[in-house]
Amino acid sequence: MIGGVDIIVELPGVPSSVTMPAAVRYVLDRWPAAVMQDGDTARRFDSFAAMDFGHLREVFVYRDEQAFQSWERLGADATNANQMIHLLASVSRFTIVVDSLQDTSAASIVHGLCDRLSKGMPWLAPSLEDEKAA
Amino acid sequence: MTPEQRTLLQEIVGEANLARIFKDVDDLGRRLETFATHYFEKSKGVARGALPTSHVSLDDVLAEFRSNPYRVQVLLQAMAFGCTPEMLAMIWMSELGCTIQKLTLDYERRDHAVLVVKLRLLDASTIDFRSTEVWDLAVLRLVGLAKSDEKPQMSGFYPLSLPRSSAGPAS
Repeated sequence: MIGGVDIIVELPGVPSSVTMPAAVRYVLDRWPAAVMQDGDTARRFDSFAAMDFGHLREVFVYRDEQAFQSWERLGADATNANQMIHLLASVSRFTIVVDSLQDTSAASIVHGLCDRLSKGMPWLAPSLEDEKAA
Repeated sequence: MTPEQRTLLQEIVGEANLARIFKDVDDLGRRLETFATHYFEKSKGVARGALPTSHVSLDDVLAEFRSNPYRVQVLLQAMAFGCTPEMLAMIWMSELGCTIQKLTLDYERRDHAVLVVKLRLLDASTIDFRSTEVWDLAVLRLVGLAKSDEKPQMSGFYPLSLPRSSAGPAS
């Protein structure tokens, strides 16, 4: 078994249908051959265009086809460490799960992704409706 | 635009908090058709497979709102800001996974504003989008920013969070 580290980015009022594509897109820029998978249904996506972010709350992003196949075969085996990033979106927060931040590549992606979600997007202010609901 | 399309578009405009902007849904429908025509024109010179789709229709846009509402919100917000079909086509291709390879802005007060966006398509070829319309600079309000190993990156367009319209008249 391998461990995991949860990194949480608080994003009050920002819907998951927006945070998830922003996150997936960032990881795709780092891993251009990545394979994505719906965490709820296990449906596989080979392209960004095919993903239906209006319904996706949990996504596994595998580094490439080989990593995807290895996870399919072995699951959370030590040989698969840092070959997949687990993304979870909810209304107020976004969670990034990686095996270890000791891995420089994973740490770099997490750092860049946190920056992107917190200050690289046009959503500093939640909508008035969201503030009322909070 | 069919009555069904009109009804659906009106619902989408309401859900996207843009009803105050797009009061004439028929006009919006025509603008979406113009965007779709321009998208098709831009994709004509592109190799097969370089774009997720070489054709987009009003029905495609309406259907996309259910599976990816943010993509349609971005498109409508860019239209609300007065972006031209050239930049709308660029935004839509980007929303479908093409990446911003290069963006240049040449602006001089009371003289010119030239925006050029080079998109990298799925087959690694590129396509340029150029505008001298100042309202097209609104794309800079919607673009996602990031750093990748401390190098700058613009990727994707995302909707601004808009206040919901009041349901009734002011008392």
